[in-house]
Amino acid sequence: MPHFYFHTENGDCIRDDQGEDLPDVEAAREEAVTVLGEILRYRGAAFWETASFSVIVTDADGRTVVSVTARASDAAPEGWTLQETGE
Amino acid sequence: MTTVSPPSRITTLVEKLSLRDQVAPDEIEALKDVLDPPREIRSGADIVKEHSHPLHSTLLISGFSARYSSLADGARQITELNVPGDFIDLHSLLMKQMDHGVVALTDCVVASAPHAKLIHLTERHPHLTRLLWLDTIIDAAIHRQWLVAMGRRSGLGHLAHLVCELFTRLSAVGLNDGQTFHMPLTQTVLSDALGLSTVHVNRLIAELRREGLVRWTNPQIEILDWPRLAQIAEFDPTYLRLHSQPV
Repeated sequence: MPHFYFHTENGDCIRDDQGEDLPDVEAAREEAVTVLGEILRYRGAAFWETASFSVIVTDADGRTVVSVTARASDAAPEGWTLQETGE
Repeated sequence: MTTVSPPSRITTLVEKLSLRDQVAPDEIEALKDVLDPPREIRSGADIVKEHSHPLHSTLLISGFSARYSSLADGARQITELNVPGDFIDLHSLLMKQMDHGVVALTDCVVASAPHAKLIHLTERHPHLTRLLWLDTIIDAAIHRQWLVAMGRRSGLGHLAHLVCELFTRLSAVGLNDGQTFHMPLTQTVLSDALGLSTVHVNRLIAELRREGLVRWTNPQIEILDWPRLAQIAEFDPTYLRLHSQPV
């Protein structure tokens, strides 16, 4: 099974030196989202200090496989408008 | 480094029980009589298998073990950590079938107490029986604290609570070296105990270090700032019942 490392970054990078064996990249994608969600659950107001939190997944050779980022902003995401609800 | 001389079979158990109430000499003898000779269990091996029907309960003499339940997808949740002096499945005397397993997290030394002998002990030593009953009640109290931590504490508070609990339980049986204790548990084990991902546990350990609360050099943990650590954990040791009061 391939080995993946899950580094976290919010201005303060915590390297994952242990990593874990997962069947494939799909499983690594799933794990990255789980980890991000789990950490954000407890961040609360502190999340706004850096307003961004990333999980970066690298493989055994140190190459980035995927990354997932949550961002906070006072503005809506680009291009977003509130749609009228209606029939 | 802590050097712990090889414990006799019941030293830590008697030490722990004595914190709660006086243990009479004949009760100590009765505990000795109930135990089979010590045996070694390798790290990673089951001491008690899930769903098994044990005919004896097991006393942990040295090492660390964990109660756990397995899920269908291979995941594991640890529901309590055991330290030396713990009767790891005393309740199997009455429960008969195990609803969970107990795994050795390090090389362990254990001794079995055959159920027939334990039944005999309960018939002859009501006070000692109450002390052992109290020990299973405290197991339940530990589970309650873990449930509260799992459901309602922050990640940092949860990890801090576990560190406070282990330090307190190990110190109670003299297995600390000042503010330092030996906790040879991998991040995977911590992650299974906290119900958090190893990545998150990694971050939380880094946070405890950065805040100057602990010096965490696996397998040693040194508590640098107990008052603040206990405050973050909201640690109240009442549930461990480490005060002396007749039972």
